[in-house]
Amino acid sequence: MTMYKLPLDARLLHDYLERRLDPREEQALEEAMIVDPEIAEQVRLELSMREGMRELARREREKPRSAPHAGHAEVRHARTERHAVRGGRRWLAMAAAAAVALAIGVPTSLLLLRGGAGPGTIGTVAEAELSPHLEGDGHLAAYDLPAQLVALRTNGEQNAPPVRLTLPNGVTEIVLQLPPDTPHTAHRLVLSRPDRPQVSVALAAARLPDSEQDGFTLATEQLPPGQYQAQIERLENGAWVQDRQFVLRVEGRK
Amino acid sequence: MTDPAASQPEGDPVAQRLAASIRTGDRRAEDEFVRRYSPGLVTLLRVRSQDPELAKDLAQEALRVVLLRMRAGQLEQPDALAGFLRGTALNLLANELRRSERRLADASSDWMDQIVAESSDPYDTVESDDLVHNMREVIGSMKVERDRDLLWRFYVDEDPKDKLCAQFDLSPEHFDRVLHRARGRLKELWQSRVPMRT
Repeated sequence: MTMYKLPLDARLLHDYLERRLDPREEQALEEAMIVDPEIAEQVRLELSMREGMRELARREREKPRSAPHAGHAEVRHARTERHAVRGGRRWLAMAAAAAVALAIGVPTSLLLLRGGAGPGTIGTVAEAELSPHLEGDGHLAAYDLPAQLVALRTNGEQNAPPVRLTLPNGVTEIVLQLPPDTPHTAHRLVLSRPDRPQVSVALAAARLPDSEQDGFTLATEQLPPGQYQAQIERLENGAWVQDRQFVLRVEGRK
Repeated sequence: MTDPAASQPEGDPVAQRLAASIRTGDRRAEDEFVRRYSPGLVTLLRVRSQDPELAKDLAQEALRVVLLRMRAGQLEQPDALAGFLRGTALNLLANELRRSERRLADASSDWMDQIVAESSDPYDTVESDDLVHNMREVIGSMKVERDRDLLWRFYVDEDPKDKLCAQFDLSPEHFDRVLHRARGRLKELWQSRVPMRT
C-alpha cells in the first residue's frame, strides 16, 4: 500500500478529481482512501467545494442579470449571457459512462472536414460537412470535430459556423472526436436547441480505445435530426471555459 | 505534487485481524469492517459516478459482497482487502452504468425532456440549495476582498483568465499563485462550515 503525506497535495487532489492521474496512481490513491478515512475526508472536502462552486455558477447563469453576490457589486461586469446546463451531474455520469462503454473497439479514425472556411478566415462562413467513418459493421459513425473553425471571428464576435452531420443508414452510435492536438485536460460538449436555449446537456469526453484521441460518444436516439448549438468547453483551474462553438445541423439517415 | 512516500508497510494488520475475526462469526468485527472501509468506498464511487445516492448504494453492495466472502473464508489475501473492495465497487459501478446506458438508449422519447425531468428531482433541489447557500455565504465571508472578487469572477462568473489578469494587473503565473492561495483560504472556511457527510 502506498503511503501519502497529509494533507494531500492540492495538485494530486486536482488531478484525481479531474480523472487525470495515470491508472497506477489512481489505483494507489483510491486504495489508500479506502484504508485511511482521513484521506477520504480530504477528497470529499475538495469534491464538495467544487460541487458548491459549480452549482453556484450554474444558478448564476440561470439568472444572469440578477442581483450580484453581496460584496461584489463593484466588480461585477456585464458578461455574455450563457445558457444553463441542467440536469448536469446525473447526465454527465451517464454520458461519461456511455462514452466509455460505447467506444470500446473503436479504432482511431482519420477523417477530414470537407468544405467550410479555412484557418484564420474572417467573415463569411460556409457550411461544413462532417464525413463519417463507419466502424463496427456500420453501426457506429465516427466524425472529427472541426478544429479549424475555432478562431473564426466577425467584427470581434465569436461566430458560430454551421456544421452538417448526416447520419448514415443503420448507424446507432456516433463518436465525435476531438482533434489530435487537443490539450490533455477534461473536455465536455454542451448541446442545446435554438428553440430551447435554456435547456442544455453536457457530455464528458473520454479517451477512445486504441487511440490517442478523446471524444464524445452518444446513441443516435440522443441526437435526433435538428439544429443544435454546440459548445466545447475545457476544464481550467477547476472551471469550465469555452473552447469553441458551432451550430451542429443533424440530418436524417441516408 | 506530493510524491507518495516510498515506505511500503509489511501488510495490513487490521485487515488480517478483521478477516480472521469475521471468519469466526464475530459481529463486532463486521461492524468495524463496515465503519472502517465505508467512507473511502463511498468517496471513490462518488468521484467516479458523480451521483451521491448511487455511490452510497453501490458502496453498501460492495461491502456486502466482500463481507459474505470473508464470512465464508474466501478472502485469500487479507492484505489486498483494499484492492479487492475497490475492484468489487468498480465492477458494480460498471454494471450499473451499463444498465443506465441501456435504459437511456431504450428511451426513444425526447431526451432533453428526460433530462429536464431528472433535474427537477425535489431531493436534488433541496440538497443543491444548501450547497449554493453555503458556498455563497462562505465566499462572502472571506476577509480579503481580492480573494472574494477573484474567486467569484473566475469560478462563478467564469470570466476568462486573460481578462482577469488584465483587470487585476497580474501575470498569468502570479494569477495562478493568487488563485491557489485564495482557494486554500476558501477551503479552510468551507471545511469549518460544511460538515462532511459520508
